[in-house]
Amino acid sequence: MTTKEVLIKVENLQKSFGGMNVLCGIDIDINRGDVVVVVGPSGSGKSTFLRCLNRLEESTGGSIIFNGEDITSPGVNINKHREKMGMVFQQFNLFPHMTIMKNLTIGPMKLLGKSKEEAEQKAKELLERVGLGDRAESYPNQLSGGQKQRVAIVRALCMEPEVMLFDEPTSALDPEMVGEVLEVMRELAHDGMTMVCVTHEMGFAREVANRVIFIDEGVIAEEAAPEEFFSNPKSARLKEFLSKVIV
Amino acid sequence: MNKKSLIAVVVAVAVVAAIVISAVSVFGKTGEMQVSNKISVSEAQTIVDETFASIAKKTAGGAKKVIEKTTVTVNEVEYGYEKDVILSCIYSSIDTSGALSDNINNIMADAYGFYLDNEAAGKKTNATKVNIQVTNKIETYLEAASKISGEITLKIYETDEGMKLYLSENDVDICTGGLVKVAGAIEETTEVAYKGETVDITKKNTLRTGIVDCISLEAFAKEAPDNANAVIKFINDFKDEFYRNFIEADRWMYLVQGLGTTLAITGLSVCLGVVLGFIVAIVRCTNQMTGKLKAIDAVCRLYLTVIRGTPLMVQLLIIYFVLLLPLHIDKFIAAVLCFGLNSGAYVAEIVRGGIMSVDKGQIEAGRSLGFNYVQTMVNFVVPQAFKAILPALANEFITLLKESSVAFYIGVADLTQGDLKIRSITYSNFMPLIAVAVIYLILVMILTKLVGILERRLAKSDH
Repeated sequence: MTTKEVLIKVENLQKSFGGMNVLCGIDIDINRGDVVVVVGPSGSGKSTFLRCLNRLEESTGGSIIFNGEDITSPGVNINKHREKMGMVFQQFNLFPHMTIMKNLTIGPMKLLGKSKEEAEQKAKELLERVGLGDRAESYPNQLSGGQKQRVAIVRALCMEPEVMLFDEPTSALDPEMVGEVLEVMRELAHDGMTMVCVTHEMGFAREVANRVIFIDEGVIAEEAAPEEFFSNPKSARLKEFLSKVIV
Repeated sequence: MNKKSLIAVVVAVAVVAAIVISAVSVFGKTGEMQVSNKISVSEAQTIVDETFASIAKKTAGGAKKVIEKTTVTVNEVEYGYEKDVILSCIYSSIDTSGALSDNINNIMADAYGFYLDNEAAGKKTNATKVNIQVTNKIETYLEAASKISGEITLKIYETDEGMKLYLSENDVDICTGGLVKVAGAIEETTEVAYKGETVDITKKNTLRTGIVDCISLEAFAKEAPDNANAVIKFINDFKDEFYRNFIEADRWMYLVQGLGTTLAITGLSVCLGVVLGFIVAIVRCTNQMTGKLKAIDAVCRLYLTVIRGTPLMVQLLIIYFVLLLPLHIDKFIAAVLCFGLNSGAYVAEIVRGGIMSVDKGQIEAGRSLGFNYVQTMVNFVVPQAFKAILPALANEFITLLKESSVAFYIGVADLTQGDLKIRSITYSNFMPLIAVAVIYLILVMILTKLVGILERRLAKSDH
């Protein structure tokens, strides 16, 4: 077994909205190359956990060490760290007033200082890989949901991130489009990308993840390799959850 | 295009067409021929001669003598739009006025003396006898009168009884060297200075009749027939009004200069308003979304409350008379400042609405890529907000263009002031006011069109 490098170290992460404690102390080490799938009942805090990782939600306690730096400390330049943490949203959140190419290149050009040619070549390459090479000049609203989500993944990849955060990437899609997006994510995982993915796609979790965590009531209730996780759940809560989601 | 704007367009086109037609006819040749047949110069001459002959025939005494000595020669004919023929003529006559007006009292006194003598001799005096006496006297004066001549324009009208020359009193007066005015003066005489004393002759009917008859003129048509084609007459009146209000003394320059000022004020205040509006909106949104900038937000809120809670005109008066006049700052600057500040408040609320209407996911997407707050706003939120608020923003500018007309309250020579200047000279309301309204309307329509083009270009991504 090769020694694993910890990319994100989460310690006692807490988050409360008003008086409601959503996250009540989460501890997890995410290693480089890990594909972590986060599952859990709705309202359990799994999306909040993911959004705390790049501080789209500000945590109210604990720490997140990313690349050796605590990104929850006040003085840190979170923008620099976010460049290395790609995020894919449930609602895609492409920029509707820009062409696909502009969506993909604005980050690398303005933040990474890449030239237009360089950024466009990289974008073109990645678009080809997800099968959308011919849509560079389209606007987001001219694409289907599945196509939009693939573009959103490419947009995150163009920043050459070290980790990809997926927030229920297939939940807003028509069923026949889920496959094309999962296929892209699967390839990404095979290429060794570190991924943290909140999803309800148990098939994907079973097949692609190397770790599955179950968040319930703001804590990690159970963590295991997928085989173990699905075939031999330990807690009663997980058993109940799995019995509901796997028909 | 909806029904309302269609009507607006039709009205605007009609008014513009009317102005164009009148402008063309001002500079172009007088209208088409309206009489049924053309007449030659010699035919016109015959009509003129016959008319004067018939006047002479129906006149007696001194007046007859003057008319006999009067000739009118037609040089040129032209066709008008009132079923008329316009004659350019040369008249030649004697200087009736020069010969008689200084001698009216002499003539009267002479007649009065004749009347008294007759009375003293116990003879009966009648009007005819007085008439002969006065006519002889007048004729003596007229023999000594000098010759005069000049140019005059007369009109022959087509009537049911054929072509007729119509002579106004003024025409006859000119042609006869002032006969009508002298006759009038004699008729109105009530007192005569006779042998050092003033005598009232109003009651001496015989005397008066005898005097007046020897010089009066009644045998000419005073009123020309109203033959004009109604439409052409309307256009012609319109044309005259147009000429008087805009062309004469280059009065249209008031409107052009005013328009320039209005556009300058609007343009500059729009720039000021947009900059101010966006800054205030971003401050307020930032405060709303992040809770920062509390103090600046409070200032912004105060600004919005004051500006939106008081009338524009009051703001203008305060800014100029209270704040800037003591500093000797130009009223043009005061207007720009006031309208800029005013529109800034409205733009701010429009922009804030636009920014808040942009999906929060857009901010998250921008921030998740590593853009900071300002970059996210500038690159992703504001462009989308701008597209959403463009119609409201355009409306605001159109309102500003129109509201800038209150600038004339502090004496800025804007478009509305141009109208006021013309009206104070010509005393006609219709033309200058309609012209100003049409200019504003055209400006607004152009602006609306431009915004439409911009909107379509921005809508490209909505396919």
